[in-house]
Amino acid sequence: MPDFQTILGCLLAVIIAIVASSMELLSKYQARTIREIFFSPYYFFFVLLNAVFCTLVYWALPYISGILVRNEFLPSLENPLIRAIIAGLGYLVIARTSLLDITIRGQTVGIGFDGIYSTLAQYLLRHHDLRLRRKLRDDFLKAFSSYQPHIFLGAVKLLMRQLSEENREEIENTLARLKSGQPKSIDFCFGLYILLREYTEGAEDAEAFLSQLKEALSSDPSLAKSLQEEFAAITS
Amino acid sequence: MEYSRKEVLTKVLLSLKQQGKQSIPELVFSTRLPYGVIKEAVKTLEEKGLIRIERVRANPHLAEETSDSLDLIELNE
Repeated sequence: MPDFQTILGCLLAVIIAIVASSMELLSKYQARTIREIFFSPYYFFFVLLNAVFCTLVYWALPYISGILVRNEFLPSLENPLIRAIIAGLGYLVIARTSLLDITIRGQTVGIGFDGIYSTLAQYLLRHHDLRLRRKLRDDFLKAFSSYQPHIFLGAVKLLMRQLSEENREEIENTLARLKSGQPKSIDFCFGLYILLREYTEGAEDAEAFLSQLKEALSSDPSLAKSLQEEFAAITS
Repeated sequence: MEYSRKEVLTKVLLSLKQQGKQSIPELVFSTRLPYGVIKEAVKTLEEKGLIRIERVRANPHLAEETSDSLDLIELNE
Protein backbone atom coordinates (compact mmCIF):
# COMPACT_ATOMS: atom_id res chain seq x y z
CA MET A 1 0.00 0.00 0.00
CA PRO A 2 1.59 3.35 -1.02
CA ASP A 3 2.10 5.90 1.74
CA PHE A 4 0.36 9.26 1.92
CA GLN A 5 3.40 11.18 0.56
CA THR A 6 3.60 8.93 -2.52
CA ILE A 7 -0.12 9.42 -3.26
CA LEU A 8 0.22 13.18 -2.82
CA GLY A 9 3.29 13.20 -5.09
CA CYS A 10 1.39 11.21 -7.72
CA LEU A 11 -1.52 13.67 -7.56
CA LEU A 12 0.88 16.58 -8.01
CA ALA A 13 2.51 14.83 -10.99
CA VAL A 14 -0.92 14.30 -12.59
CA ILE A 15 -1.83 17.97 -12.06
CA ILE A 16 1.45 19.08 -13.67
CA ALA A 17 0.83 16.70 -16.58
CA ILE A 18 -2.73 17.96 -17.09
CA VAL A 19 -1.66 21.62 -17.01
CA ALA A 20 1.23 20.95 -19.43
CA SER A 21 -0.95 19.01 -21.89
CA SER A 22 -3.73 21.64 -21.71
CA MET A 23 -1.33 24.43 -22.68
CA GLU A 24 -1.30 23.10 -26.23
CA LEU A 25 -5.08 23.39 -26.46
CA LEU A 26 -5.08 26.91 -25.00
CA SER A 27 -2.62 28.14 -27.60
CA LYS A 28 -4.42 26.34 -30.42
CA TYR A 29 -7.89 27.65 -29.54
CA GLN A 30 -7.07 31.21 -28.46
CA ALA A 31 -10.32 32.45 -29.99
CA ARG A 32 -12.51 30.03 -28.01
CA THR A 33 -13.81 30.44 -24.48
CA ILE A 34 -12.48 28.33 -21.60
CA ARG A 35 -15.89 26.64 -21.38
CA GLU A 36 -15.83 25.65 -25.05
CA ILE A 37 -12.31 24.23 -24.80
CA PHE A 38 -12.45 22.39 -21.50
CA PHE A 39 -16.10 21.34 -21.08
CA SER A 40 -15.94 18.52 -23.57
CA PRO A 41 -16.04 14.73 -23.18
CA TYR A 42 -13.06 14.44 -25.56
CA TYR A 43 -11.01 16.81 -23.40
CA PHE A 44 -12.00 14.79 -20.32
CA PHE A 45 -10.73 11.56 -21.90
CA PHE A 46 -7.59 13.35 -23.13
CA VAL A 47 -6.92 14.42 -19.54
CA LEU A 48 -7.62 10.87 -18.34
CA LEU A 49 -5.19 9.45 -20.92
CA ASN A 50 -2.44 11.81 -19.78
CA ALA A 51 -3.23 11.13 -16.12
CA VAL A 52 -2.96 7.36 -16.66
CA PHE A 53 0.39 7.62 -18.48
CA CYS A 54 1.71 10.06 -15.90
CA THR A 55 0.66 7.79 -13.01
CA LEU A 56 2.37 4.83 -14.69
CA VAL A 57 5.57 6.84 -15.15
CA TYR A 58 5.41 8.14 -11.55
CA TRP A 59 5.02 4.59 -10.25
CA ALA A 60 7.74 3.18 -12.52
CA LEU A 61 10.17 6.09 -12.09
CA PRO A 62 12.45 4.36 -9.54
CA TYR A 63 12.93 1.51 -12.05
CA ILE A 64 13.26 3.55 -15.27
CA SER A 65 14.84 6.73 -13.90
CA GLY A 66 18.01 6.19 -15.95
CA ILE A 67 16.01 7.13 -19.09
CA LEU A 68 14.57 10.37 -17.71
CA VAL A 69 17.18 11.83 -15.35
CA ARG A 70 20.94 12.13 -15.16
CA ASN A 71 22.77 9.77 -12.79
CA GLU A 72 23.75 12.56 -10.39
CA PHE A 73 20.07 13.39 -9.79
CA LEU A 74 19.01 9.79 -9.07
CA PRO A 75 19.22 10.14 -5.24
CA SER A 76 16.85 13.15 -5.40
CA LEU A 77 14.08 10.87 -6.70
CA GLU A 78 13.41 9.76 -3.14
CA ASN A 79 11.95 13.22 -2.58
CA PRO A 80 8.26 12.91 -3.66
CA LEU A 81 8.17 16.52 -4.87
CA ILE A 82 11.10 16.02 -7.26
CA ARG A 83 9.70 12.65 -8.38
CA ALA A 84 6.34 14.37 -9.08
CA ILE A 85 7.94 17.16 -11.13
CA ILE A 86 10.02 14.71 -13.18
CA ALA A 87 7.03 12.42 -13.80
CA GLY A 88 4.67 15.33 -14.56
CA LEU A 89 7.00 16.98 -17.04
CA GLY A 90 8.75 13.88 -18.35
CA TYR A 91 5.99 11.30 -18.78
CA LEU A 92 5.64 12.22 -22.46
CA VAL A 93 9.22 11.06 -23.05
CA ILE A 94 8.09 7.56 -22.06
CA ALA A 95 4.67 7.89 -23.70
CA ARG A 96 6.36 8.88 -26.97
CA THR A 97 8.87 6.03 -26.84
CA SER A 98 8.63 3.38 -29.51
CA LEU A 99 10.52 0.13 -29.65
CA LEU A 100 10.25 0.00 -33.42
CA ASP A 101 9.23 2.50 -36.14
CA ILE A 102 7.45 1.11 -39.19
CA THR A 103 6.30 3.05 -42.27
CA ILE A 104 2.76 2.47 -43.51
CA ARG A 105 1.66 4.36 -46.64
CA GLY A 106 4.40 6.97 -46.12
CA GLN A 107 3.55 7.52 -42.43
CA THR A 108 5.88 6.46 -39.66
CA VAL A 109 4.09 4.52 -36.94
CA GLY A 110 5.80 3.79 -33.63
CA ILE A 111 5.31 0.36 -32.13
CA GLY A 112 5.33 0.60 -28.33
CA PHE A 113 3.97 3.21 -25.94
CA ASP A 114 4.08 5.82 -28.71
CA GLY A 115 1.70 3.77 -30.85
CA ILE A 116 -0.87 3.59 -28.03
CA TYR A 117 -0.49 7.16 -26.72
CA SER A 118 -0.33 8.90 -30.13
CA THR A 119 -3.27 6.98 -31.60
CA LEU A 120 -5.52 7.70 -28.62
CA ALA A 121 -4.39 11.34 -28.22
CA GLN A 122 -4.79 12.08 -31.95
CA TYR A 123 -8.24 10.49 -32.02
CA LEU A 124 -9.42 12.50 -28.99
CA LEU A 125 -7.92 15.81 -30.14
CA ARG A 126 -9.32 15.40 -33.66
CA HIS A 127 -12.82 14.77 -32.32
CA HIS A 128 -12.43 17.66 -29.89
CA ASP A 129 -11.55 19.90 -32.84
CA LEU A 130 -14.48 18.60 -34.92
CA ARG A 131 -16.83 19.22 -31.99
CA LEU A 132 -15.64 22.83 -31.62
CA ARG A 133 -16.04 23.49 -35.33
CA ARG A 134 -19.50 21.91 -35.39
CA LYS A 135 -20.46 24.21 -32.52
CA LEU A 136 -19.10 27.23 -34.44
CA ARG A 137 -21.18 26.25 -37.50
CA ASP A 138 -24.29 25.80 -35.36
CA ASP A 139 -23.73 29.22 -33.75
CA PHE A 140 -23.34 30.73 -37.21
CA LEU A 141 -26.47 29.10 -38.64
CA LYS A 142 -28.41 30.43 -35.66
CA ALA A 143 -27.04 33.95 -36.23
CA PHE A 144 -27.59 33.66 -40.00
CA SER A 145 -31.27 32.96 -39.50
CA SER A 146 -31.60 36.01 -37.19
CA TYR A 147 -29.60 38.69 -39.02
CA GLN A 148 -29.61 39.94 -42.61
CA PRO A 149 -26.39 39.12 -44.53
CA HIS A 150 -25.13 42.72 -44.87
CA ILE A 151 -25.15 43.01 -41.05
CA PHE A 152 -22.27 40.48 -40.89
CA LEU A 153 -20.23 42.73 -43.20
CA GLY A 154 -21.06 45.81 -41.13
CA ALA A 155 -20.15 44.01 -37.89
CA VAL A 156 -16.69 43.06 -39.21
CA LYS A 157 -16.15 46.66 -40.34
CA LEU A 158 -17.15 47.86 -36.89
CA LEU A 159 -14.79 45.33 -35.29
CA MET A 160 -11.91 46.44 -37.53
CA ARG A 161 -12.16 49.98 -36.22
CA GLN A 162 -11.48 48.68 -32.71
CA LEU A 163 -8.43 46.59 -33.54
CA SER A 164 -4.71 47.33 -33.67
CA GLU A 165 -3.04 48.16 -37.00
CA GLU A 166 -1.48 44.68 -37.17
CA ASN A 167 -4.76 42.83 -36.56
CA ARG A 168 -6.58 45.10 -39.00
CA GLU A 169 -4.09 44.23 -41.71
CA GLU A 170 -4.57 40.51 -40.97
CA ILE A 171 -8.38 40.88 -41.25
CA GLU A 172 -8.05 42.83 -44.50
CA ASN A 173 -5.94 40.03 -46.01
CA THR A 174 -8.46 37.40 -44.92
CA LEU A 175 -11.34 39.52 -46.24
CA ALA A 176 -9.60 39.77 -49.62
CA ARG A 177 -9.32 35.94 -49.73
CA LEU A 178 -13.00 35.53 -48.75
CA LYS A 179 -14.16 38.04 -51.38
CA SER A 180 -12.31 36.48 -54.30
CA GLY A 181 -14.36 34.55 -56.88
CA GLN A 182 -17.82 35.89 -55.96
CA PRO A 183 -18.63 33.78 -52.87
CA LYS A 184 -22.14 32.52 -52.11
CA SER A 185 -23.93 34.84 -49.70
CA ILE A 186 -24.01 32.24 -46.89
CA ASP A 187 -20.32 31.35 -47.42
CA PHE A 188 -19.23 34.98 -47.25
CA CYS A 189 -21.32 35.51 -44.11
CA PHE A 190 -19.79 32.41 -42.51
CA GLY A 191 -16.29 33.70 -43.31
CA LEU A 192 -17.23 37.04 -41.73
CA TYR A 193 -18.68 35.24 -38.70
CA ILE A 194 -15.46 33.22 -38.23
CA LEU A 195 -13.54 36.52 -38.31
CA LEU A 196 -15.90 37.97 -35.70
CA ARG A 197 -15.37 34.94 -33.48
CA GLU A 198 -11.58 35.11 -33.88
CA TYR A 199 -11.51 38.57 -32.35
CA THR A 200 -14.37 38.36 -29.84
CA GLU A 201 -15.00 36.20 -26.79
CA GLY A 202 -17.47 33.49 -27.67
CA ALA A 203 -20.82 33.39 -29.42
CA GLU A 204 -22.44 35.90 -27.04
CA ASP A 205 -19.84 38.57 -27.78
CA ALA A 206 -20.16 38.03 -31.55
CA GLU A 207 -23.95 38.17 -31.19
CA ALA A 208 -23.57 41.47 -29.29
CA PHE A 209 -21.62 42.93 -32.23
CA LEU A 210 -24.29 41.86 -34.71
CA SER A 211 -27.08 43.15 -32.53
CA GLN A 212 -25.27 46.47 -31.97
CA LEU A 213 -24.91 46.95 -35.70
CA LYS A 214 -28.51 45.95 -36.42
CA GLU A 215 -29.64 48.65 -34.00
CA ALA A 216 -27.32 51.24 -35.55
CA LEU A 217 -28.56 50.43 -39.06
CA SER A 218 -32.20 50.74 -38.06
CA SER A 219 -31.58 54.43 -37.32
CA ASP A 220 -29.37 55.02 -40.37
CA PRO A 221 -31.11 53.74 -43.55
CA SER A 222 -28.47 55.26 -45.87
CA LEU A 223 -25.68 53.28 -44.17
CA ALA A 224 -27.86 50.14 -44.32
CA LYS A 225 -28.42 50.69 -48.05
CA SER A 226 -24.71 51.22 -48.81
CA LEU A 227 -23.81 48.05 -46.86
CA GLN A 228 -26.47 46.08 -48.74
CA GLU A 229 -25.10 47.34 -52.07
CA GLU A 230 -21.51 46.55 -51.08
CA PHE A 231 -22.54 43.05 -49.95
CA ALA A 232 -24.48 42.41 -53.16
CA ALA A 233 -21.49 43.49 -55.28
CA ILE A 234 -19.21 40.99 -53.50
CA THR A 235 -21.46 37.93 -53.47
CA SER A 236 -22.98 35.87 -56.27
CA MET B 1 -1.02 35.72 -57.04
CA GLU B 2 -0.84 32.57 -59.18
CA TYR B 3 -1.44 29.16 -57.64
CA SER B 4 -0.45 25.91 -59.30
CA ARG B 5 -3.37 23.51 -59.67
CA LYS B 6 -1.43 20.64 -58.11
CA GLU B 7 -0.37 22.76 -55.13
CA VAL B 8 -3.96 23.90 -54.49
CA LEU B 9 -5.42 20.38 -54.72
CA THR B 10 -2.73 19.05 -52.38
CA LYS B 11 -3.33 21.83 -49.84
CA VAL B 12 -7.10 21.31 -49.84
CA LEU B 13 -6.81 17.52 -49.57
CA LEU B 14 -4.25 17.80 -46.76
CA SER B 15 -6.43 20.20 -44.81
CA LEU B 16 -9.46 17.93 -45.18
CA LYS B 17 -7.38 14.95 -44.09
CA GLN B 18 -5.90 16.68 -41.05
CA GLN B 19 -8.92 18.69 -39.91
CA GLY B 20 -11.84 16.69 -41.22
CA LYS B 21 -15.10 17.98 -42.69
CA GLN B 22 -15.01 21.70 -43.62
CA SER B 23 -16.94 24.28 -45.58
CA ILE B 24 -15.22 26.49 -48.20
CA PRO B 25 -14.95 29.49 -45.80
CA GLU B 26 -13.28 27.24 -43.22
CA LEU B 27 -10.88 26.02 -45.92
CA VAL B 28 -10.06 29.68 -46.68
CA PHE B 29 -8.87 30.00 -43.08
CA SER B 30 -7.09 26.64 -42.85
CA THR B 31 -5.28 26.78 -46.22
CA ARG B 32 -4.96 30.61 -46.56
CA LEU B 33 -6.04 30.23 -50.19
CA PRO B 34 -8.62 32.54 -51.85
CA TYR B 35 -12.28 31.45 -51.94
CA GLY B 36 -12.42 31.32 -55.76
CA VAL B 37 -9.36 29.08 -55.97
CA ILE B 38 -10.77 26.67 -53.37
CA LYS B 39 -14.17 26.64 -55.11
CA GLU B 40 -12.48 25.49 -58.33
CA ALA B 41 -10.42 22.89 -56.47
CA VAL B 42 -13.54 21.51 -54.76
CA LYS B 43 -15.26 21.20 -58.13
CA THR B 44 -12.27 19.26 -59.54
CA LEU B 45 -12.00 17.00 -56.49
CA GLU B 46 -15.73 16.25 -56.60
CA GLU B 47 -15.49 15.30 -60.29
CA LYS B 48 -12.60 12.97 -59.47
CA GLY B 49 -14.69 11.37 -56.74
CA LEU B 50 -12.18 12.22 -54.00
CA ILE B 51 -14.62 14.21 -51.87
CA ARG B 52 -18.31 14.30 -51.10
CA ILE B 53 -20.42 17.33 -50.29
CA GLU B 54 -23.09 17.50 -47.61
CA ARG B 55 -25.50 20.43 -47.80
CA VAL B 56 -26.64 21.93 -44.51
CA ARG B 57 -29.60 24.23 -44.84
CA ALA B 58 -29.43 27.44 -42.84
CA ASN B 59 -33.10 27.29 -42.02
CA PRO B 60 -34.52 23.76 -42.25
CA HIS B 61 -38.06 25.09 -41.86
CA LEU B 62 -37.90 26.90 -45.20
CA ALA B 63 -38.44 25.17 -48.52
CA GLU B 64 -35.17 24.03 -50.15
CA GLU B 65 -35.30 26.44 -53.10
CA THR B 66 -35.68 29.49 -50.85
CA SER B 67 -33.13 28.45 -48.28
CA ASP B 68 -29.40 29.05 -48.49
CA SER B 69 -27.19 26.09 -47.67
CA LEU B 70 -23.68 25.62 -46.33
CA ASP B 71 -21.69 23.00 -48.25
CA LEU B 72 -19.62 20.74 -46.00
CA ILE B 73 -16.80 19.02 -47.80
CA GLU B 74 -15.51 15.65 -46.64
CA LEU B 75 -12.91 13.25 -47.98
CA ASN B 76 -14.20 10.03 -49.54
CA GLU B 77 -12.49 7.31 -47.52
